Amino acid sequence: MPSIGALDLGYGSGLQIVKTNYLVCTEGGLTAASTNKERDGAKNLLSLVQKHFADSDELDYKSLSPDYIVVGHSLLGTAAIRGTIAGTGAIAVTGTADRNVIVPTTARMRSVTIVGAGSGGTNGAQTFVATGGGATTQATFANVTISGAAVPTDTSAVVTPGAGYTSIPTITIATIADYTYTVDSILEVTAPVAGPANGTSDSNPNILAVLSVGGIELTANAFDASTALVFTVANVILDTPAKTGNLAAAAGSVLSTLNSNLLTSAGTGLTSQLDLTDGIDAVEVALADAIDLSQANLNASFVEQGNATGATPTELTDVLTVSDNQLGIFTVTTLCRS
Amino acid sequence: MPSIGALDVPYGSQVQIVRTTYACVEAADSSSAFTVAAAANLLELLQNELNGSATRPDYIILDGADTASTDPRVLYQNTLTDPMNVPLMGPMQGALGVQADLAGHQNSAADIGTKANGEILAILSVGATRATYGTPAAGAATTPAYANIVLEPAGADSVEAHLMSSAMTLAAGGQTGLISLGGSNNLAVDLFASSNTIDVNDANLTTGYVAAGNASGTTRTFTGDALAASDTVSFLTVVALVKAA
Repeated sequence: MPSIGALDLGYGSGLQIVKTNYLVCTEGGLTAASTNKERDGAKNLLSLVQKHFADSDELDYKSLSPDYIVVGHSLLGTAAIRGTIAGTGAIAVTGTADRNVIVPTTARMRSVTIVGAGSGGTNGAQTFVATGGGATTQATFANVTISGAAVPTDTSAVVTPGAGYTSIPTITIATIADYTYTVDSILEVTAPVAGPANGTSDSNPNILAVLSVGGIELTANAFDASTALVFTVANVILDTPAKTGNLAAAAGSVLSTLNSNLLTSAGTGLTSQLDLTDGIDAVEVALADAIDLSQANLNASFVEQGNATGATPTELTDVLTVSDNQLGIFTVTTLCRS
Repeated sequence: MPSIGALDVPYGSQVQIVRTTYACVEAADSSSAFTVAAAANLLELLQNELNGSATRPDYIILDGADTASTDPRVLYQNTLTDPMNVPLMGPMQGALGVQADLAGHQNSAADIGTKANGEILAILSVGATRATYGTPAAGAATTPAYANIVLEPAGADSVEAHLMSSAMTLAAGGQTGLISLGGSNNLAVDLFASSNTIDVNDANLTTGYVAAGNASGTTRTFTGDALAASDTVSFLTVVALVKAA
């Protein structure tokens, strides 16, 4: 294996190879009650993970240290339904915009599942309408599954979900009570690979090519007395692009799809933002457990290491739940020009 | 997001990272032979209007009547499953050896070998998008709408592995520096599927074509002159590690 070339120091060169780690978490269910995405809590979680990975001597987590945190808006949401559930804003963002916190601005419904609880009602012709919100309004959704006792039999024709949904669809089931619905949405993220994530900036380099992608999920093992935290790490299979709406059905490798995203986004110009959806969504799907970013240990009770008062800093063990896989890492290596 | 390395200036280095973009065009009349100049003019037109962008093409590939191209930037291919061997740098192989006064050692791809197209060491990334020219207006550049093309060569290969394998196969046959978009399990089907045709024999691309920066100061030809509504151009971009010369 002869050396076929070498890279120069990064400093001063306009053309660079950049490796970016995105910490992925999900804040839980997309319900009629909505789910907030707390940027402040996310920022502190990122700080904790960076500190923990940097301090890991036994485990070589340093290469996994995240640069950004991506807050998934939902994994699954379930709620009782009777009559009409109005389209509800699913993306209510709190906290201050931060350069390292990435919050998706759109939501795309992957599926809607309605299950009858069986406590009342009868089968028969019912009205089921799922109305999209956001930029694209569609009457109904594809991938709608209805099952269980006393299910409505009349479902509107379904079409493929489109982009730009920012709310839970309006669902109406007349006269039959006690259904539950579950909404699963796709994590749509377009983000820089370097520089601040809040707003556009000249310090975000133009992306020329995506060279490599990878993803893992981390499950927290039992905490020991010293608060040391070890993860069980597992691969995430990325090669199942979730994004619909491409010219062909979802297919192809994630790497080539991200490169195609890059070209499509750049179009007649250049772009410093990369559509990560086709890879990062798979990481979020792999996370079985949500994390509460509004918890006190990530907000009012959060204590940063090296604080002036000498107070004991918050540890990752104060925030995560044993045996849960609440965190994932999505890594992208790109060729950039700054 | 640390920079884990950077590339030095390419001059003087044998090993280079090359980013190559191909414009793939389906001709409106596949039974007619085209002039090489018309295809080259279309390429030049796209280069002008996409200059500085991620999709500025370096080569043009036409799906139409097979014609021996003498232009180093143009490849014709009538049958998508035929070998469609294209370089990442240097001239199209078909353009080699067409000059009458070349010596024997200069006039064939086999003779010229890696001197023409380098040696492909690795395929780093591949992506594709389709530009649809919605409503071209005469005398003006047209901003197309872009949509992803899913690249999925038949079989289990990733696109990158597929192209690298093709480069290795071609190199073993003496055609170093080329990748194959056609042949079995080819990418050409993905690139041309669902594309709309372009009339490459349009007068604005042949006798009426006016190049930018012409000596007479005549207004150049725009995509709005040469293209029709819903015409499409597919762009394939390949980034590779190439050893030049």
